[in-house]
Amino acid sequence: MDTGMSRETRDEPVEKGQEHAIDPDVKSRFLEDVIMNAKLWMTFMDSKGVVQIWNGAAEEITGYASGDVVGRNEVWRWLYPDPLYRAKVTGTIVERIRDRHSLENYETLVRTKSGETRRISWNTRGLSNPDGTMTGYILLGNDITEIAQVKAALKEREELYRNVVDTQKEFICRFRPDGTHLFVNDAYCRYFGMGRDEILGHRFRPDIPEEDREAVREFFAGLTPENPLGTIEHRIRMPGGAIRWQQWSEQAIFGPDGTLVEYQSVGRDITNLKNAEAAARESNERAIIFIKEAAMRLKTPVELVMENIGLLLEDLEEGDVDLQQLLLRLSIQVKSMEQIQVNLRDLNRAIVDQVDGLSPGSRRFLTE
Amino acid sequence: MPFSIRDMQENELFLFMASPKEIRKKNSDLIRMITENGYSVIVITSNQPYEVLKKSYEKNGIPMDRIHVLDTVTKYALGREPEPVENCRFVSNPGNLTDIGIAVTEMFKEVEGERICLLFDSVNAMLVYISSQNITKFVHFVTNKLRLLGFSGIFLAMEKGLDPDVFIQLTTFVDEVVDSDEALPPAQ
Repeated sequence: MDTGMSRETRDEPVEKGQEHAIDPDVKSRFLEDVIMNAKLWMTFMDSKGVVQIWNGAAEEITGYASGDVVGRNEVWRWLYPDPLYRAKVTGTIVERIRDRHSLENYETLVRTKSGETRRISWNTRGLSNPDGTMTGYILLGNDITEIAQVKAALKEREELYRNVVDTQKEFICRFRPDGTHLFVNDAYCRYFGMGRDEILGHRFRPDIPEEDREAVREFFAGLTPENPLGTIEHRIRMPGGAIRWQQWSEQAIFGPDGTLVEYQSVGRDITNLKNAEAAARESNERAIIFIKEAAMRLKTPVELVMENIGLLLEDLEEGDVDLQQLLLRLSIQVKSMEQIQVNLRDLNRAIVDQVDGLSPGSRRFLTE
Repeated sequence: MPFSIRDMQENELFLFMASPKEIRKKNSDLIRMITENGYSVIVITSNQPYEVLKKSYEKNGIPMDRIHVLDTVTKYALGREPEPVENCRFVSNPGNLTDIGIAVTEMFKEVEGERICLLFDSVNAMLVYISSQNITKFVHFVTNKLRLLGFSGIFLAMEKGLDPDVFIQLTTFVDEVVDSDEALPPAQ
């Protein structure tokens, strides 16, 4: 970039003591230029609040042109239209300047010409005569509206995140490979009946029953930079001795060099689910046993009855059966058929109990 | 090799598998073979009534004086006490295992000292009235009695009519399972 200076001028060394005094006019113009073009709101007002200097940033932020405000003190009423708020701001500034001669990072909300509210962080110094009389105030205002909005949004998001993490039923924790816990949510603490302080920074390891330990060890050993995610179900022994089932989704976090840094875990208690599964399995097994039993008590008995009736017919054809014997043999087969019918109803009831989605009509048909 | 009672040692127990079609014939064939070999027989029947068995045995030339029957179906079918028969006991219901157990025990006492073989006809006919769990317990009870008394026993059951788990349980109570394919000697 060409600065406009000649090579000779740039390269010519300036020896110590050869500096020339800066032209006061140049210095004044330089300072004015700096002030007027600074990105910071710069204002000088006298002790009565009359604005003496109103730079470009002040114009840009407030929307009020220098010509509207310089030489007047109304701008403060415009910027702080609420008299109570204005009195509070003015009181704070005057009081702090009086006591400490300066005020740093004091945040106020100003109303711009367009009606927009902007947050300004003020750094203010009082200027006074040697006799201590206040002559005016240098006000430097930093428009932090956007920063404040971002901070508020971030805070809101953090609160939301914290709220989500702490109110959800899932347990969330982060821990180092040695078991030192770095983060736990409320659900985790509640579940183990421990305070956050008792867990964080400590090597807290839930009591896993011996029979599940090897599987858990193998699971964690199987998490690698290539496959850092996994889910495991295992039992734990609660402080009171009760055995509960947990399901954990684990993520192993590795450093850039592939070293295992920590684990992030999200877990839940699945004891009820496991119990329900076991009950369903047991119920299913019971149903299968019952159905097999019922089938056994239907299949060959029917064949047996048919065979016995067949034999009876053969004997009748041969004239080998008297009436009394005929009645007896028929009665036995009728009794058997009655019992087979009872067995069939039992089987149907087992089917109805086991099969979901049967219409009431079908249920009646099978059981009545 | 065909199944023969000659091969049967004292106190030996068999589970004899037959089809429903064959069951009455197998009953008679087995009785004939057993009696021919000097055994007296106790028949527990829940399939055919005493009257039918008697007729069938007599037709096959089997002497009834060597046969004792525990009939579980006649009284049940008639709904009343049948006419008393010398070599037969009637129990009220094929599902009443207590009464059957008592009757079996008493019959065993009556024939003590004799060479006895029990014929149980059949596991499947009894399954109409009682659960496999109870029939398994009952077979276990009877086989224990037979072993204690030194009696032999044959338990008739129908092929493909038993759940494999029940079948395996029954096989643990006997010494051998005989398939009906292993033909018995023909009736004379």
